[in-house]
Amino acid sequence: MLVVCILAFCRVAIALLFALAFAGKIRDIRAFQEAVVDFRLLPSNWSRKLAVVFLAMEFLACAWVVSGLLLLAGFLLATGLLMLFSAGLLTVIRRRMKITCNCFGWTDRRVSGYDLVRNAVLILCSLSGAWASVTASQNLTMGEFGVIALIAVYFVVLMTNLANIVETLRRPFYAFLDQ
Amino acid sequence: MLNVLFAGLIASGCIILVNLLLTLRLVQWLRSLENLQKQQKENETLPELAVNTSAPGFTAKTLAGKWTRLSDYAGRSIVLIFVSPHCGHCRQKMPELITLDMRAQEQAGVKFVLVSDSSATETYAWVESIRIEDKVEVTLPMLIAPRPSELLKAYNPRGLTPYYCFINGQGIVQARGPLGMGEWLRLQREWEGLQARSISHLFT
Repeated sequence: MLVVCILAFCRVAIALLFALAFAGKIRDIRAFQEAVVDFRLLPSNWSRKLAVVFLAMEFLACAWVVSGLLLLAGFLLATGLLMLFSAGLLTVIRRRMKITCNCFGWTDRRVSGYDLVRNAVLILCSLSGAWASVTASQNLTMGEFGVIALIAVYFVVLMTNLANIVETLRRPFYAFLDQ
Repeated sequence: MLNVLFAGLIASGCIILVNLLLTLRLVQWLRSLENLQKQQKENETLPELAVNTSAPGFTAKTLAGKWTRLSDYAGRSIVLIFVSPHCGHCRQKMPELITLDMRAQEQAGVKFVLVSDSSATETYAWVESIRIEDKVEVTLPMLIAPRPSELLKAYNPRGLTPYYCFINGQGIVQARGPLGMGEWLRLQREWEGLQARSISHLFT
């Protein structure tokens, strides 16, 4: 029963996460392409093409996990993408570059350690999904799935806003509100 | 019975989720305002762009939604003019800038490019209000660099809009500063004078 619950949770979480990432980037694909160029890991024209490939892969990962036809492949693709993004973010942090991630569409927030922590948790979630997809056999009732899906939505909302939440808890807006 | 319990759980969960999303939106908004204030304070202490150095590269969208880079103007002298929809002086100067752009372009091959510090929507509304209320068609290209953009940070107009940065064809900063002061007045005279010289040349 627990494995089935883990699988349902991971499916909703990973599918929602990649759907959000894909939707945020496709709205302004040029901004995402420029964000990949800003990472300065590859020549500009290669980076722009790679950005389109990333988008296509994100869509595929989401589609495979939602449809359930290629569940294991979907989770593994998601894990691979998250690892690749983490490696890119790590190089940015190590080079002390001040650039924005644009992981879920345009933002003015710079790449930070929070992005790496978020990706590490998501990789764990994706790997758990891959493991559960080969072991789970039972089905959930509609009500059970609804509750687990809702928890997964909370998880995604908290993970995608991790930096803001932790920063607000650590350093409230006192200085700002005083003015 | 169990289904009723699940339905109740999901319904209350959804209500909490909406509240959570609204709170996070508010936090994001406050955080971006705080970043903006921090950026402005940082910019005030930073020096202006150095003259006779390479102009920092940039990528910005035009009001028409086309991406533009500094390299798109390679081989051509440009004047970036930093404006803001919240700046009354920028609006007053607009007819003068449009006329001067034509003169500078015809006589010295210098193109004026406006840079707005606000969002595309706000800038579009501003341009439209100038067109309707002042009967002035803003024909100059307008780049959108909403605060806190990398473009504004690199060129650092220090909130002194309208502010200009004259870049020659080799991408070197020739002059910069608030519009209507110091070096700008000399450039203005030069561009207007060039036109006067070319007109006098036609009659001789």
